[in-house]
Amino acid sequence: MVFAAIRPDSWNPALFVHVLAGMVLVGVLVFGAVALAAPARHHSARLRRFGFRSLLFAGLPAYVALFVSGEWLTSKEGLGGEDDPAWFIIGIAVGDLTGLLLAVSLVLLGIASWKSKARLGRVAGAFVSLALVLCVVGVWAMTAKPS
Amino acid sequence: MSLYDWLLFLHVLGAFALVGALTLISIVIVAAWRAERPSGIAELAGVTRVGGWLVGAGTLMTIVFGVWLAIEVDQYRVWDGWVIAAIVLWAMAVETGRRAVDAVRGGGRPAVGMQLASSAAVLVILVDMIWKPGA
Repeated sequence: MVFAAIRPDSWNPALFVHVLAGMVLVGVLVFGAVALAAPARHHSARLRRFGFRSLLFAGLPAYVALFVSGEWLTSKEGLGGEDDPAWFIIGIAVGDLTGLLLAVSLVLLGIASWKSKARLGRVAGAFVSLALVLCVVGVWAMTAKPS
Repeated sequence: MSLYDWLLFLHVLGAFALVGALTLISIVIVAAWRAERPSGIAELAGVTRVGGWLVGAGTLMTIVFGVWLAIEVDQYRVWDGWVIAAIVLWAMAVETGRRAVDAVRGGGRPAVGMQLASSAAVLVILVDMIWKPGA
């Protein structure tokens, strides 16, 4: 038998926004990965456009909410100093890399949708898939909290 | 990693798969609405299939590892009010989610009500899991 970690109630709103935003971001990334990384014969301009709009109008706001609520939690937990635990450092690294991949994917997909370039759309799909893998690593770091 | 760490990770990963699938299906519903030709909806079949798999994996992982966690952790009991509320809401979310996926496969428009009901149930579960009222 074990005891679960208890946190103050005042952290709950920030945690709620953080978890919900992460879940929505994962959903958008799954859509992007499946729709964009599909074989060429299934890879239509419509799916590329929808992938781009999903990332822009749902993925990007979810990432911003994830980032802001993460900063909110960091300030409440008193983290962000010199002796930060490993799980926090992994979380920050995963968050920054995911943001970078999201930004690159958006730019590539914007060009791919505008210029009808299927190959560029698949490259963006690969970046989105990588961001999705990073999100799973982030969930592991936030829940298992390796020290 | 301890057993508790693994259970929590797998439980939360299942929740991410479930809410991720709901988000994905919502995008598919909007995409199907905007598709003017049947071929436009057919293009989304692969994405819908993955959404269905994610719903299946997510629902199974959340309930199995969630109940296991309630048994493993000293502070919680499976018959605690907030745990029972989560199980009831989970059952509602699963059934409405299943109907939403079926409706999307059948054409899209009738899925909205079921999708909203499933999303609302999952949102309340998330509130319940974070605040744990009565725990």
